[in-house]
Amino acid sequence: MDTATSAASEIVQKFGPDAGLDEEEIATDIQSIVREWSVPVDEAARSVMGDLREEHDTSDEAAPSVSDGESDFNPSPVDSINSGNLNEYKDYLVRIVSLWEPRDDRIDQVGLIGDDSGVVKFTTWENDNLPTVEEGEVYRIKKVNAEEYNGRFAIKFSNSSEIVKAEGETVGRGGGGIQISGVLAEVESGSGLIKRCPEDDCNRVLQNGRCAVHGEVEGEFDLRIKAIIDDGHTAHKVIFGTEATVELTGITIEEAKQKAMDALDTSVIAQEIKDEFLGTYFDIEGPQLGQNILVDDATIVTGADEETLESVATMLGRDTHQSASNETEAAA
Amino acid sequence: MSDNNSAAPKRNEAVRTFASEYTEATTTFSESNADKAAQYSLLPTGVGANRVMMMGTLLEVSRTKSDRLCGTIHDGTGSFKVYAGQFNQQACSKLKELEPDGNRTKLEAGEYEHVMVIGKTNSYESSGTWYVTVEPEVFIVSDKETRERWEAETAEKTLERIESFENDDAPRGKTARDHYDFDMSELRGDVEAVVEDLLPEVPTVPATAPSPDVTPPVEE
Repeated sequence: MDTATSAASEIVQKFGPDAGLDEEEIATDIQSIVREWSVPVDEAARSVMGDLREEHDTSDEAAPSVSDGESDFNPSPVDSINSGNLNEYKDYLVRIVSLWEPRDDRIDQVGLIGDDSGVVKFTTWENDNLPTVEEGEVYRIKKVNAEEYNGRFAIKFSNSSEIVKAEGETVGRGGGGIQISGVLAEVESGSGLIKRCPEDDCNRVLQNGRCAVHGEVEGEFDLRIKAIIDDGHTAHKVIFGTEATVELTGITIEEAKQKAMDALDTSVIAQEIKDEFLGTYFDIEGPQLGQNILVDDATIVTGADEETLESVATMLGRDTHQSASNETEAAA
Repeated sequence: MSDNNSAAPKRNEAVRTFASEYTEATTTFSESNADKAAQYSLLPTGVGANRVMMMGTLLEVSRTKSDRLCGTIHDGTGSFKVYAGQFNQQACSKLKELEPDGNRTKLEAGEYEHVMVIGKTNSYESSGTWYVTVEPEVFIVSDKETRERWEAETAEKTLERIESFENDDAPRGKTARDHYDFDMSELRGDVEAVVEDLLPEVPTVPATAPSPDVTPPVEE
């Protein structure tokens, strides 16, 4: 499996040459975990990495240019945010995956940060006086704890927290990026033209005009798709955010609102999406957030896949690379 | 990340199958004794399927006595049926659109469509014969290129299942052996026939063109 090999290659890179890791062996380990436990490649890769971490204890080796005064930086993986004491101080080495428009004057910045293990939300407040971060850049985040809100975990900054630009350190594929390929098998409810709660930091999708937390509110329109991309092995939960939905459908929020008004029905957009895209094959790329993959890039693909055909030919016992040898034979 | 949705069961994947394997999957099983436990059809290759994804050419649309829509689809290895009733709204309305007019149930060549079905497996007995059909969740009029992608994918997955079965590595290989008298080499042949046109060509003459006067010897 291609993804097992690339996950293995990332693990080998992360531990560095001194760890003496064998990429093929790791790829095989990952594949056997996938087969035995039916978990996605990234879960298997994470568990393999966990085992290796215990063996090698390389949390500081991964950062080649750590200077002397910085031995107080001990990053944990982002997906460990919900383990241990929420009040415990932790460090993270992360990339700024996305930044959102703050809905409150008191918020300085809000968005998603991530590493190889996953993505998590963060919020900095004006009062925190923390440095401004840029999307796509890597930072050392020190002495933060965690907060939980309705089952979701987020980074919580304190007076002791620090944000420092990383020096020469790099993080995963921009925040735990996953690549999958499959058929759009379902467009779930809560797709198309939706409304979001405008309260503070909420943003929740309204159900019948109601927010699960704030009750009846005047929602703000947004576009999104909650979909299942099925690759024959796993039914992946995938979310197209505003930008990804606009790019896929070619309609803007304003155009969508107009269509809904003309039809006196907000569900027309979801129906159009179903009519157009159910049964279409997609290549999807993006970070994992909890149960979902957030779409960074979605490409429609069609026609028989070359690699798949190679694999089929091999299993059928066919030699597909005779042409080169035939040329030299015929010359004789 | 915390799994705040751990109560919701994971959605079953859509197993890629060809008709010649699928229609033989008469045995079913459940993973638990609970009332609403998912039903799986046991494929001859020793794998359980709760949901399948299949494609083919729609040949016929008819109605059952209880006014359910029935579509007959042929995928190159054989044919299978989909039954759409009141709980399969999308498939029902699609099949109604495709239904031939008059008293015909069989589609004429000009009416043929490449269709895709994603749905739940269904196995039942009627007058001593077992039938394995699909209850459609999604019924799509598709196209040749999508079908080719599906054919390659399904060929790969089917051959992998056959290999596992033959290596005694299939999750329910023993049960499949006990229940079915199924010819794997025939299935392999079916798969080969479907992908034949898609596989990269293996030339038996040199790629470089000879001079026009000379006919190169063809190696057989």
